[in-house]
Amino acid sequence: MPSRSTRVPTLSPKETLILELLCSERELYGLQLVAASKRKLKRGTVYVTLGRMEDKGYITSRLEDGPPEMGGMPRRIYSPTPLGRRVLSAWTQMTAHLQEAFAR
Amino acid sequence: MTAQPGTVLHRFAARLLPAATVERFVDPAVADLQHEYAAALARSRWRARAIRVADTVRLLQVIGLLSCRYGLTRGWEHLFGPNQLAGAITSRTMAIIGAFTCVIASLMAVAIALMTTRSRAFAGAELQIAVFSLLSGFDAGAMQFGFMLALLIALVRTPARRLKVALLLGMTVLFSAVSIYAIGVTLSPPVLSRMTLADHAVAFVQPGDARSMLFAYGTRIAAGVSPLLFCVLAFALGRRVRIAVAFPAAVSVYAAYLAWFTWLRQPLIASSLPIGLAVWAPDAAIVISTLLLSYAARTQPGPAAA
Repeated sequence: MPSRSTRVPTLSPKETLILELLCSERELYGLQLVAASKRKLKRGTVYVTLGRMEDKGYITSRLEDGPPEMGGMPRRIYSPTPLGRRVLSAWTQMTAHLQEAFAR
Repeated sequence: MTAQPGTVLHRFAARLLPAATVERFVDPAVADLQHEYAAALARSRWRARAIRVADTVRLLQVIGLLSCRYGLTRGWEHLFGPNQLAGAITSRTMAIIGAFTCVIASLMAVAIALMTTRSRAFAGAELQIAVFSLLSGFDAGAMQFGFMLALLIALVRTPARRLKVALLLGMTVLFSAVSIYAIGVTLSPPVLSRMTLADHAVAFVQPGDARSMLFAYGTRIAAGVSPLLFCVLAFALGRRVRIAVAFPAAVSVYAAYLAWFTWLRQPLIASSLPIGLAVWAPDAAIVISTLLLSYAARTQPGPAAA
């Protein structure tokens, strides 16, 4: 069994979508991700997926206070890490390569 | 002044889930909900209300998903990890069941002996009941009785107030389940007494009425066992983690047990597969896990004793 350091990074379709959106927009809130995904991401599950991606080190987050007149809790904003960008790039290349190989 | 949307659910999640989980998963969802609500309120009150309702449902979904995941993970840890209470409770339960079953079987043996010496008609049904009580250990309410007594011992011994409440709750549920089970048994036809031991053997390999009768008997056992499963898990998990967290894990096992039993019923009646897959395999799984837990409890000090 491969050790943790040599384990091949994996990306589920939802994780790929989130990384693509974050890499194109730089920083997004959970709700913005749902809106930008055109209903491919669900609001009930997006936070769990984001948490899992944080555990994997693909994304990072920070708390951001909203405008004082709006009140409420500070919002969590997500951005991709360098590892996340590299994984997405490699994943995209691999997918394209596979598509090309199997299209023949 | 109206409370911010999601405040009550956030408080509920804080009681149900660990702080780190709430901070990472629930807080962002609540913050987004509050932000979206405030933005909508500036445009239209009705739109804001609609958003509030829809987002509350989604927030419930997040909390439900997290509590199931957390409950199952922690449930596994507390059942099979060190210092688990389930082992202590189940080992006591098994000991009491064994003793209780032996007493019942002995009384039945005496009754049969008396009946046969007085030359009264003897159909053999009593013997079957005695044999099955000894073989399964779950018959005639022995399991319920054993578990109730084990709970009672734990209730007396524990100094923790929260645990006492959990135990009382578990016992209340259990007593209710046993009562319903007893009423059901009283009203149902005596399935076992209509079957000879040879019928049971035939039912294992051949389709037909005997298989349905075995299922009817199995249902009576399952009716008593499945609430017990629920109580065992909810109690054992509630001892170490928050009681509310134990709930999803206990419900999952409870549902799995019932699903195993019910979903296999019709296919097995119609096929030639071993009927014990549905009738006795779930109980066998309980026995195996009980033995594992008992073995673990032997080497690990239980929390009640600590």
